[in-house]
Amino acid sequence: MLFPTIEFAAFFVVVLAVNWLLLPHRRAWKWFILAASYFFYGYADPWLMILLATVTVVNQVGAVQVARATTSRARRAWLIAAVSIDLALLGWFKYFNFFAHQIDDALGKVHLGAPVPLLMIVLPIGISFYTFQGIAYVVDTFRGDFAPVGFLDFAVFQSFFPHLVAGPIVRPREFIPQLDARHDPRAVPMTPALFLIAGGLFKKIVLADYIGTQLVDPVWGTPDLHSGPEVLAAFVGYSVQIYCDFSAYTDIAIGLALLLGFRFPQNFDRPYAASSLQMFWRRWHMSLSRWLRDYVYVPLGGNRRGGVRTYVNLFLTMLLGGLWHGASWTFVVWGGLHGFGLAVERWVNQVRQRGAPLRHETVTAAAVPVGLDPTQEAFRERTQRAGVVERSVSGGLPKAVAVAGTFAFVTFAWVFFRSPTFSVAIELLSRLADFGPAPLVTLPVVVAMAVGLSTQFVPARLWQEIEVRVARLPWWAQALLFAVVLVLIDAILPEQGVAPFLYFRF
Amino acid sequence: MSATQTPNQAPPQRRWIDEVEHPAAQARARRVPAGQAIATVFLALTVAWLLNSESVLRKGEGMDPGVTRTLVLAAAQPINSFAQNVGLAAPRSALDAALGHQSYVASNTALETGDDSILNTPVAAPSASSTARNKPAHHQQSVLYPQDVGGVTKIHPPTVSHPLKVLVTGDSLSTYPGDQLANLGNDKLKVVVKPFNGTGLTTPGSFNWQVAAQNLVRDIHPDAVMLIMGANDGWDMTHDGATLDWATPSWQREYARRIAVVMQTFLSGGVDRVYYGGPPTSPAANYQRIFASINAAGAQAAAAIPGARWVDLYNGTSDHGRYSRSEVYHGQRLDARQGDGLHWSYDGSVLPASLLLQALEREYGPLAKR
Repeated sequence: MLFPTIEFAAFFVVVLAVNWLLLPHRRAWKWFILAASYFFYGYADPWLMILLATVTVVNQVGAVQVARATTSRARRAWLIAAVSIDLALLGWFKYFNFFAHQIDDALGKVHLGAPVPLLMIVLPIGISFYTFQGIAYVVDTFRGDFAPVGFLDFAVFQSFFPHLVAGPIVRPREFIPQLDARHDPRAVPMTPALFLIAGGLFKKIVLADYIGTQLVDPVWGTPDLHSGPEVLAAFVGYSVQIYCDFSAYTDIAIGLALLLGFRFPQNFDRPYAASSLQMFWRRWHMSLSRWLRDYVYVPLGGNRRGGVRTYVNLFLTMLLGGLWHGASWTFVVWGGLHGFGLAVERWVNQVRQRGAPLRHETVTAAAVPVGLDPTQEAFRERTQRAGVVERSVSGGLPKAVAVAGTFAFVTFAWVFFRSPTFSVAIELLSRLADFGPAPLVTLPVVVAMAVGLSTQFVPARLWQEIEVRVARLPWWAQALLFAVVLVLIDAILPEQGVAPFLYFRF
Repeated sequence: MSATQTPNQAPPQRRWIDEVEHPAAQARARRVPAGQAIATVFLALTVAWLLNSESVLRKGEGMDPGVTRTLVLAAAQPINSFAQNVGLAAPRSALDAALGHQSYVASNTALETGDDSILNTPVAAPSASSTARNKPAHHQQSVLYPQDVGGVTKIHPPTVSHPLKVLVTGDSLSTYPGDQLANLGNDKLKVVVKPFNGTGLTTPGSFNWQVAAQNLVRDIHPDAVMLIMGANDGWDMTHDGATLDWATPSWQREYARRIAVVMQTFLSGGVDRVYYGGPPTSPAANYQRIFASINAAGAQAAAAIPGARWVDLYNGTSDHGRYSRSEVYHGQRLDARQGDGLHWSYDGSVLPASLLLQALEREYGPLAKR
């Protein structure tokens, strides 16, 4: 079931009402929300429910056995078993055909043509997200950071429908304690939730889909038919599109969860305002960044094994992050570019540190390649410190230059991310030098891109003020306002309808 | 983990999205009782439905047949009637007019209500000026050429200064083949790709392809049209009050009639040629049957309409009608389908595009890049 549909609206109204009726009765509520979440997931294809249940059982059994094991060897064995099954499932559904192709190509080059069959494997939506959550649960148990909970609690955590399909990737100790916490039925943060949902729909339908259909898709579809200015505009357009699309989904997910009385971690924080790659990754898809840091970078050794190894670990972490997005060399290149960029940035900072040692915050920040330390997420702390950290990791450049440079690098890397093949990316890049007209760069497209980019730089205080004013309105006035916004968004909906969220394919 | 913290406790310093993004929310904005939140959401959706009643009805009509569609339509039809009668639909209509939106629905069109006489005898294209036609020198089975009994529009060979303008349209299947057709073509070929995702011929109540054809011809003025569609049409149809079960002979004939109506509409608008390509093979047995039936209907329609062609994408992009995920093109093995197993991948779309290009070249001369 997709968020911006009639089916989901009807589903959510019912779930919202029953949710608050049953929340005082915890066990009944858990069974209800579990059933609702499985219905949500299996609505289009009931087979998907079996896969979700399988991943849930595997990780619950794994975590319980890790906790029960009396020897470290047994604990490690159960950990490896559970994570291996997770990765095998992910590998089968997501990567089989990719690797079959690579083997086929390799055999062909040595004249051993024996085509490995490409199988009809439909990628189950959301598998990358709930598999990662399952791995986090087992690994946290292994590390002693989290004790396994009952099967029902874990099943609810895995399947909770707002985050099920495209994140944010919620950590066990962020969500599971909420299951038995008291939810005050007199204090629902309704206005922030409606703001997030309406804002998400606006970003998705009005900005992302419009830029995608009018500029980005035509340019990427026929790369050699466009001039340099048009291609350049499409590059910037895609940066805006993917931010508006993906952040829209997580905004809607977070808003829905708030209405149900639950909180998710923040997933985006104006990433294109970052003045360094390191800061970009603290602001973009933050829940994935944290996951990669804690379950890939740290186990690889992080920055504890010397300078060279740290660079290698950074690079490998981002390479795997790229591969997580999809089974294609273009994603690997995208991840590799970011890994390389982060490593260079770290090296530059270390060279500068030798001349003028930096403050503690900078060292801490440099030691954490991606994502935020959970204990440092408080908004004010971060914004107060951000100036210090950003100045230090951006090589002392004026902030505007550093922001523009970071955006340019990120946009360049997106070219590979968006391109279906490596040759398309190269073709597009080669078109940049070809001057000519840009008929696709119309005024509405430019306005949509400008609005999308401006969301990165509008002070948070402005949104807060608007939100507070709306919150002061009577509830029925807020309802009417929300209704008008929904009608406006539907009216602006392109003829092609709502495109699938980009991150559904990951 | 701190010394005072036990496992499974949320981090003590954690602040959450409503506090992080909206630090003012907790302190200043009111939090409301759950009942009020539910009432607000319910009222908002109800008002949005009333103001948007026609759009909701169209979306319901566009749903796959089943319980959900029946329920949505059961509610949407009376609500729309009510909203229209009391004027609640007027703001949305005004908004659509202000935004310059075109309507893709209509009542009592030939697409919905016509009879199948259009399939019985080839009909002359109204704009036909000549009976001449460029019959291909090397006729291949992959493109069906009817006898064009009634005469067809004379084709003017395209030049660089007057390139052939081809509109590639249809459902989501048409997007990548359209892009690849543009990539394969030379300077004498100008391709406009205009897909309408999620549409089909079995649900004209939500999207009427006869109306769409009129709009497209008027706005784009193509010389030729490539219509690639059928992926969303695996459903029963109603015609003359009767329900036609999918992929039965009567369903296939009705589907052919609808394709013929759309083809005829394009041709009546001044298009020289209409090429119809149906959906490719499917990994699912029931869809394999439906798509074979749709392609047969396409051939039947093309045989009846002078100036219309059927391009066999079903067999032409598969292993002789057997589903295959990979295909070979110019010696290179391609992963021809997207993750859903049905849509052609970007790479794989070079297969249908090359067939479409061949079909064009038979009548318009060389159009491929050399």
